[in-house]
Amino acid sequence: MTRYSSERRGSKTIPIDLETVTEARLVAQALAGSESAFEQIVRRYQRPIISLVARIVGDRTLAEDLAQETFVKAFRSLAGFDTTRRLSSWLFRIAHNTALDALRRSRPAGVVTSTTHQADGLPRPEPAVPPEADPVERQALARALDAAMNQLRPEQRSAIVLRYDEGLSFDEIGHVLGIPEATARSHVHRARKRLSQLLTEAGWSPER
Amino acid sequence: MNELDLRYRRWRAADEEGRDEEGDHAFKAVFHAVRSEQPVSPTFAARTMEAVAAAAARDANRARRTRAALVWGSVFGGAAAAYFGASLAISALAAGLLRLLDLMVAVVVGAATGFEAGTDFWSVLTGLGRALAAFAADPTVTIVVLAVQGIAIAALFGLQRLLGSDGESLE
Repeated sequence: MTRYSSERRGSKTIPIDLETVTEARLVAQALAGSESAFEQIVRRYQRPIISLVARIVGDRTLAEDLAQETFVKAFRSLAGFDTTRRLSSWLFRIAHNTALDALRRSRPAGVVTSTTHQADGLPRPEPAVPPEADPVERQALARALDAAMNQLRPEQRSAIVLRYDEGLSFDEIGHVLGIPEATARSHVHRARKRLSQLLTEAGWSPER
Repeated sequence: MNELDLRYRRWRAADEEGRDEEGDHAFKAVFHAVRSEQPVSPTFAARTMEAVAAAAARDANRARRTRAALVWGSVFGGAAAAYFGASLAISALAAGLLRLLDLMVAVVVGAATGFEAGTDFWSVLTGLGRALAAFAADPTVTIVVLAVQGIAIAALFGLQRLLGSDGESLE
């Protein structure tokens, strides 16, 4: 990503990259009443937002509804968005809180992302994999990992998705989850430990 | 041993041995190897934009209703206040005005008497200060000043709310 400027706020230097500037322009256009600018924001972030929410609530159809709610909330509070922050972090934060609220309202069990079919009945696409991997073994590990993920606490699940699916830094994860960076790091570390433990219990020993 | 096995063993070994950074990288490799990219429904963006438009319309309606309620509330409230409080306000204002006139007379008389009697400047000034303090401490004056301040604050607040509602509906 092209980093061409930076800004000092308090004692912390916030890097401003091309992505942040593009996002800020889209936000400004959306605030000025441009529907197409907000639609671009929706199209840009729909996949990661739905993916995060689906991991938290465990239901792909519900996740799409909650993602929609996330974008509506974002639209309503767009004026309050801090343009020196990443738009993605802000959207993830709204999505995370919306998903947790939904979980509190109705406590569904588990995650259905490990099923072999999607909500619309279509078979799930194959994962992005190294060519040498055995597809059967890979699917078995994917299912085991999904099942283990379902047993994590929602914050840990979010931390894992944000870290390893979306590639966020610990600072950004902290911002999304509303916790300090060190706590975000600890969430990820503990979640990985717990996943190791759960995978071992499921027969996926460390020396397979 | 295939690539996935290797990545998995690397992750587990790194975490078992407490090599956090290496475990972080290795788990990322495993996660990427097994994760699946689920396609988003092609109608999702369009449905979301419809929901956003509906929410914006609802917000604008709510802002319009709030503004209308505020305007009518202010009109009726103002009329009721004028009807029920007019006599009280007039008598309070008249009393306040009388006290002000009293003060002015006291100031002029005090200054003239003082200078005529050859009193020094500071004693005259002290006398005037006493008269001013007596004026400010008068309960009628205090009530009038507070009432005027209250009306001014209410008017400013109402104006700000009206302008705010306008801004919101424009947005």
